[in-house]
This record gives sequence, structure tokens and C-alpha cells, in this order.
Amino acid sequence: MVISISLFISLILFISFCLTSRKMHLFEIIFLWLVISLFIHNLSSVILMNLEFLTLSKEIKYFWTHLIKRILLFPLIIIWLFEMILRHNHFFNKLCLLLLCIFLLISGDYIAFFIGVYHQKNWNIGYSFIQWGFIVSISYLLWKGYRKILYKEEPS
Amino acid sequence: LLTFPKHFDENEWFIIVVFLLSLSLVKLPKRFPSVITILIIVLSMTVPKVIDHSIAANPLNLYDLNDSNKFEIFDVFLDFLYPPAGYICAYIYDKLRPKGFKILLYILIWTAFAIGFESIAIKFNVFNHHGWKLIYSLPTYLFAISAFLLFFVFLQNYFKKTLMNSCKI
Repeated sequence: MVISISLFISLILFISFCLTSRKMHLFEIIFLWLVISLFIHNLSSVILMNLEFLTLSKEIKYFWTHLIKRILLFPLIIIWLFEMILRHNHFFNKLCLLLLCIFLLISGDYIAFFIGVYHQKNWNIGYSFIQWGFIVSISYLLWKGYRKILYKEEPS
Repeated sequence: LLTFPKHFDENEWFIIVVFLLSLSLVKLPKRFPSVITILIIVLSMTVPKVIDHSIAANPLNLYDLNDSNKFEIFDVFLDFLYPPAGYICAYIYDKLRPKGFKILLYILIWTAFAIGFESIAIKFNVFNHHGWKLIYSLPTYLFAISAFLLFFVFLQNYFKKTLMNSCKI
């Protein structure tokens, strides 16, 4: 049930993302997907295995939900918000979208706590904000760098 | 945040030596556009990371990386061993441009190389299997290398289609 719902939501979002018109080049999307997944996996391993601020449920259904969230859902949310950032020129709008992105990710985390995917030990919303703030800002900066390389030679 | 090795022994030395060796191997002439090279490198880091952190961690816990089931500093260094191999695999493929069954042969050679590399890494305690077996890696690598080459060919074709006139190779 939990797997089906999380997979269903993720796939609906994924298909919607594929169907909407995009300003991003496919290479940017692939780059972001890979970089975000890399950071999510590294950071969540530090949190789960080393700091033990959270524990992952031992039930296999929650493990799959955790995997869908890390591989599909959260990278997709970040990429979609970055795509929306491309459509805005004003700094304030971009900042609001970045904050909205972090808010959505933190909400996703808390939904996962509520469902029972993770159990909180020494976790609080501040850590969630630091975690996602770090991932979103570092991905944003790397994406900007990659985008620069991608369009370096573009004729005006 | 990252734990240090319990003992600085064979697995850490293995990672350092392979990393230094692979650095010398990537001094190859530039063959691909930077945007493709970057994607090859990031893909070669992310896919093994996602697989390792999914099946080596709880609840599956099929193997441990290095000295413990914690996320060690040398686990991060381990990530840097894959991109040179991925880059060389794509580089030679692009140079040879195999056709038909030669593609299968090329994939099998790289699968054999990956299996050989993993078995040496096991001897050096980089991977400590307890549930996973080396034989399981055989179809895994066969699939992963095929998917990697398919992805590489797709990137090249898509690049030619969309960016050829706007990016410098």
C-alpha cells in the first residue's frame, strides 16, 4: 500500500514533468538528477548510519518507499522547482522558489516520519532545514556551473 | 560526520593505489565535449553510490564497504575509483566503434574486468560480503555496462542533434 501510493505519486509527478514544456536542456536534467541523488545518498547515509539521528524502518515496504523518495521523488521536486526558477528573472522570486523547494522537501520528510518510514531519535526541523538547504543550494550552484559550460559557445 | 577507518590497512591502501593509478590513466587526449564528460563522471559516481547505499545498508545489508557498516571517509574516496573506469570504457568504445557482436564482446570484456576488479577488492577487504555473492555481480555488471554504453551513445546522438553547433568539442 505504502509503496504503491508513493510510486503512484512519484510517477504522476514524473509524467507531468515530462509533459510540461521545459526551458532546461535534457543534459541539465540528467546532470541535476545525478548530482542531487549523489548528495541525497551521501547525506542521508551520514544521518542514518553515522549520526543515527533517524532510523530507517526494518520493514521492506518502507525501505522501497525510502528508495523511491531518494531516487525519484525528491530529485524530481528539486528539478521542477529549478525549472520554475528559469522562468523568473527577479531575485526575490527565485529566492521564494528555492525556499518553497526546501519547504516541500522538509514536508516530504515529515510525511515519511508520519507514515513510519523513519523513526526520529535526535532529529528536529532545524536539521531538516540544514540538510535540504545544503542539498538545494549546492545543487543549484553546480547546475549553474554546468549550464554555463553547456551554453558557453552558444551563438547570440 | 564521516568515520575514520578502524585500522589503516590493506583496504585503504588498495583504494589509494587504485585511485593514483586511475589518475594516470585519464591523461588521455580530449575526445568528448565537456558536457558529456561531466555526465559520464557524475553517472559513474552516482550509480554505484545509489546501489551501494541501497543494498549495502539496512535493512538489506548484503555487504559492508571497508571496515564497518558506517559511512567512512574511504567510502567517499571509493566513489572516485569508478569515474576513470567509466570514462575509459566510453573512450575506447568511441575509438573502436564496435559493430554487431563485437559490441557484445566489448561488454563482456568490461564485465570480466569489473568482476576481476571486484574479486581483488574483496581480497583487500574493500567489500565484505555477507549475503551478496560475486556471481550475483556477473549479471549486474553485464546490465550496468550495457546500460552505461547505451546511455553514452544516447548522449552523443542527442548532443549532435541539439548542441553540435553551439558547443565546442
